[in-house]
Amino acid sequence: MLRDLLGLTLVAALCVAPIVRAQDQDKPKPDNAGQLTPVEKLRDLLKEYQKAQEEFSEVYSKAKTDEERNKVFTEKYPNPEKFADRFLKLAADHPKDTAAIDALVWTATNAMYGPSGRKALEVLARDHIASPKMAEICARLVYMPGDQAPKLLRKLIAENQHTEVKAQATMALAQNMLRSGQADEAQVKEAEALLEEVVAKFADVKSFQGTLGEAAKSELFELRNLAVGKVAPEIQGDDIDGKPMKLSEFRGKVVVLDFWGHW
Amino acid sequence: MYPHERSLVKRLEGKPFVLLGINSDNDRQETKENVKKEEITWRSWWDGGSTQGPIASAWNVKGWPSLSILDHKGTIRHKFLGFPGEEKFDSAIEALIEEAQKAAKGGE
Repeated sequence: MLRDLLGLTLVAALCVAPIVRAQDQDKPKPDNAGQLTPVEKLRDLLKEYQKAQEEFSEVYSKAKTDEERNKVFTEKYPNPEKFADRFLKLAADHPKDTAAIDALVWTATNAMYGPSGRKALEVLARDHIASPKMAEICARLVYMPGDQAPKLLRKLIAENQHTEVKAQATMALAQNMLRSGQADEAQVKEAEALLEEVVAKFADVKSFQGTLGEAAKSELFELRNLAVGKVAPEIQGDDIDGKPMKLSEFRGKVVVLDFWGHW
Repeated sequence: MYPHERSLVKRLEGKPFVLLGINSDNDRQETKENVKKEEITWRSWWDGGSTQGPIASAWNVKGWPSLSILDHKGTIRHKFLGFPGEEKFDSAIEALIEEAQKAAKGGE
C-alpha cells in the first residue's frame, strides 16, 4: 500500500514536472528581461521620446525670458536627430520585422532634413518600396530640397501597387516640382499632367484636409491663373469695416496683395 | 512687418501704388482694434474669419504672410511666401512703379 502510494506520487511528480517547467519558461526570467520584441523596443523608444518632449515643453513653458528659453532649448530640446540613430539601429537589427518600417517612417518624418532622415529614406526606398505604409511619408516629401524626394516618389509611382500610395506619391511629386521654385517649362507641364491624373484617378483619396482631388484642383487653378505672368483674377468682397471693395478698381496702380493675420 | 509697410505706404504716397490686405483673422471686432492700434492705414478684405476663407482658398494660400505684387495692368509679377526682406520687396515694387509711370507718359 505504502509502495503503491509512493509509486503514484512518483508518477504524479513525473507528470507534473514538465508542466511546471513549461510554466516557468513563460514567465520572464531575470536574464531574459533585455530581450524585448522589436515592436516592444519601438514602443519603448517612442515613449522615451514622448516623455523627453513633454519634459521639454513643461520646462520651456515655465521659462520667463528669451535667455531662459534659449538655455532650456539648448539643454532640453529632444532633437529627433539624436533619437534617430536608435530608430535606425532598431530597423537595421530587425529588417524583416514590422517595427523596422515604422521606425524608418518615424525617422524619415521626424528627422527629415538631417542625415538620419536621408538614410531612413534610402533604406525605405531599398527595402520597403512596396509597403502600404509608404503613403504616410509622401506628403512629407513635398518641401524636401534636392533630388532624393522626387526620385523616391517616382519609384513609388512605378513600383508600389497600393492605390493610396500611388495617389499620394503622384500628388506629392507634382507639388515637390512646383515648390522647388526651379521648375522649367517642361517640369511645369509634367506637374500639370500629374495633377490632372490625380483629379482623374485619385480624386476621392483622403488628404491632410479634404480630398486629393480638391487639393489637385486648387493646385491646377494656381498654376493656370495665379502664376507669375498671369493676370490676377478678380477679388471682390467687403473690407474689414464692411465697405465693398474690388481688385479691378485699382487697375493702373502697382498693387501689393498681402495675405495677413494678426497672430 | 507693419512698421515697414507703414513707411512704404507713406513713402509712396502720390505714386501709382496701393497696398491691399486680405485678412484671415477670426474675430472681426478684434481685427478692427488691431488696425487702429498698429496704425494700419491700408484697406483689407475681410476673408470670412478664417484662413480657409473664400479669397485665400481661391488664391491657394498655404502660408501667412503671402505676398503678390501686380503691375499696373493687373499681371502677377512677383509672389512671395513670407516677407522676402525690405530690399528685395521695395526694389520689386519700385521697378514696377517706374514701368507704370512710363506707360502713363508714353500712353501704352
